[in-house]
Amino acid sequence: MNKLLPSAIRPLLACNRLSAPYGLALSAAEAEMLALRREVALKDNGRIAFGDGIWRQLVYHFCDSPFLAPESYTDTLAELLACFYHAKSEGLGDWPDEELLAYMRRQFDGVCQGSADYLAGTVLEAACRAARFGQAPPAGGGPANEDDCDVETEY
Amino acid sequence: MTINHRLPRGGNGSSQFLLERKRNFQLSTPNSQFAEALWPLLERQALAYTRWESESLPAETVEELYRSLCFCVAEGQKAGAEENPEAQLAAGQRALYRRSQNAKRLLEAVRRSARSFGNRAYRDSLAIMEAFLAHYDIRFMAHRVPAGLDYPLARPVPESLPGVLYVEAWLAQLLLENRLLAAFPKGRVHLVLRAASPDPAGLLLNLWEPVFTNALGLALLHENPQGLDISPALRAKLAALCKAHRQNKEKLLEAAERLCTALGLWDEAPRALCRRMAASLALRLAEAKGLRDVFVTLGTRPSWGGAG
Repeated sequence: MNKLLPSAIRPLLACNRLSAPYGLALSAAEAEMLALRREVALKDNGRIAFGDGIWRQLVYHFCDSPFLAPESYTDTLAELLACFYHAKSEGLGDWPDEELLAYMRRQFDGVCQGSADYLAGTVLEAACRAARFGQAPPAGGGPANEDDCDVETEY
Repeated sequence: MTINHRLPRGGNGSSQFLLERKRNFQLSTPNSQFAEALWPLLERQALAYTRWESESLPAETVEELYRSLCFCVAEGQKAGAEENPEAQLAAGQRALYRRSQNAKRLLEAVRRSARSFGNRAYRDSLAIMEAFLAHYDIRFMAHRVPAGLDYPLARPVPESLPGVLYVEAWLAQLLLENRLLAAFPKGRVHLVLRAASPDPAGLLLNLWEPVFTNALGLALLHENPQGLDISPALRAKLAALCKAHRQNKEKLLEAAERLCTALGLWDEAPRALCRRMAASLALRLAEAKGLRDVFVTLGTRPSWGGAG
């Protein structure tokens, strides 16, 4: 496996300043693993990233979530980032990163109750489908219902 | 440092190329010429494309941005900008802006000289050109060419030409064909088109090609090409002439020169086009079973187009 440059890991370690007050921190090895998983997620979704600003935004949006625990912090971040790139490539590509992350956070803490699987497989899937039809994401973040195409008021 | 600014090939190959480059950029020392010189520019272009709202883009979009960047930088080099790629990009964008203004002037000239004879593809292609030039995106997608140009030119423009270079070449060629058509009486041209095609308005038909063919036939027989009518008797003479001379191509090239002289066309561009079309006609005559659908008689309808 390719050895990542310190420059790819540094932005991740810098995020510890944001997450430390919530008892969440990454070691150098975890940061390296996350950076590699990001490369895989980008490749899987056919995307090219410019810069490493996404880590700061991701940690900023999720670090105070009650569903993040120190023991699963690294895996959850990796899953959330994979969800993020998947949603970007499946229909939410026009959403600014900030807005998509804010939407993910609301759903993660709300209907998903901390489940990244539910977020990816149900909520974001429904939002992507709605976006492909030019509609707003389904209200409540749940699966799209043909009778329930209301625009979500908070978005 | 010399950078290879040739446009990468389209398709998945160049996406793969970019992904590979990106990986190299991030995972190893950035020592390649590409990473050193163009990656920072591409990064800036990509982020500007997203209005700084997203840090990633689909590989296909990045590939298009890269092609546009290469095209602009290459144009900047041609314009004599200094070695710095950033200066070359800016100079290239300025050069392309000037060319897009020139293309708009060409389009106006084409519109003024246009005699579409109701041909839908001709009209639609001009409308597409106008829309393309109105929204030509020099900043991000300078390499793109208009899609849906159905009107077939007598001498197609190379599809390898990127962006406004293709547009300029296409419009210049159409302007030349308009100029050649204008050398003939409008009513006669209309009759030739009706004799050459069952639906000259609806079918994808080059307007100059059948007119040229008849005019060349008349020039071959030392008749007045302005008449444009090849009667059955003249067609029989042409058939005999073609049969007698095995070197049709040379005869046709001579006739093309005579035709241009008769029409008062002294500059090289129309003469070159006529010579090229005469050479193509030689091949067509060699393959043709009869001359009825090659040299048409005014007032008739094509034999292959149904009733008439």
